[in-house]
Amino acid sequence: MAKIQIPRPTIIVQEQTNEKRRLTHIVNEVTGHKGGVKIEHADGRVSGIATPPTVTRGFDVVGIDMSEYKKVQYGRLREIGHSHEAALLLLPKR
Amino acid sequence: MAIASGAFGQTFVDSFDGGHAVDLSSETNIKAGLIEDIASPPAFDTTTLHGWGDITGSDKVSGTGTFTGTLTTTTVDVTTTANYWTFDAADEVYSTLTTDAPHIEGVAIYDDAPTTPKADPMLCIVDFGANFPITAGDFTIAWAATGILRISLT
Repeated sequence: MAKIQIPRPTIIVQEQTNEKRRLTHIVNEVTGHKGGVKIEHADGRVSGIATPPTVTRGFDVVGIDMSEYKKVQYGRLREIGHSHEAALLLLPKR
Repeated sequence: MAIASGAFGQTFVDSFDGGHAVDLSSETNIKAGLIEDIASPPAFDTTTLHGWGDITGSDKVSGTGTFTGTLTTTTVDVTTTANYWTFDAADEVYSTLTTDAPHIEGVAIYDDAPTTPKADPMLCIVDFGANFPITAGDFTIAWAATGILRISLT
């Protein structure tokens, strides 16, 4: 007998790692949830980039709204022992 | 009433009788919209055409991110093999989502191109069988090996 079948797919949920969550929290604290960031680790790794209009994965990783800013000039997150220091330069829209 | 998997019969009827020009092999128009639990889901077996717009906004997944994907890879296709007509696509990935309650319970597959006699006619709803909340993560629908929807021909 002919029959329509809609098999159940497999769902895969991959949430951020603890490291990304930690970075997101720190960056949000620094930026006040505004602007974008480029997070550079001391060893040269880059974990997040937001450069409108090419919104990359990093934009979402840090969960911030770039609508009020023209671009991110620079951002750095440094680890100092168990604490962190972030510096961002955001160019606002005129 | 929770959602359940099913195919919208009138979309098939309408497509075969020339009402809609549904193209399931389109790489740009076949959409997969994530949905929540729906109190009164559209009926599959009526003569009424159902479009994506008939899913109440509050029943579509909300939060942060893009909750409607496009089945755009070259594997979106319809085939007939081994006594089955099959509609399939590559696994769909929704990147960096944060969902509001009541989160993700299924997906509606629809054609974004037609405007008449019904805009965005829905092909089917796929029930995930569970509720999936997600916080700043990637959500992947790995379609079954047997496809998204298939019809046994014998």
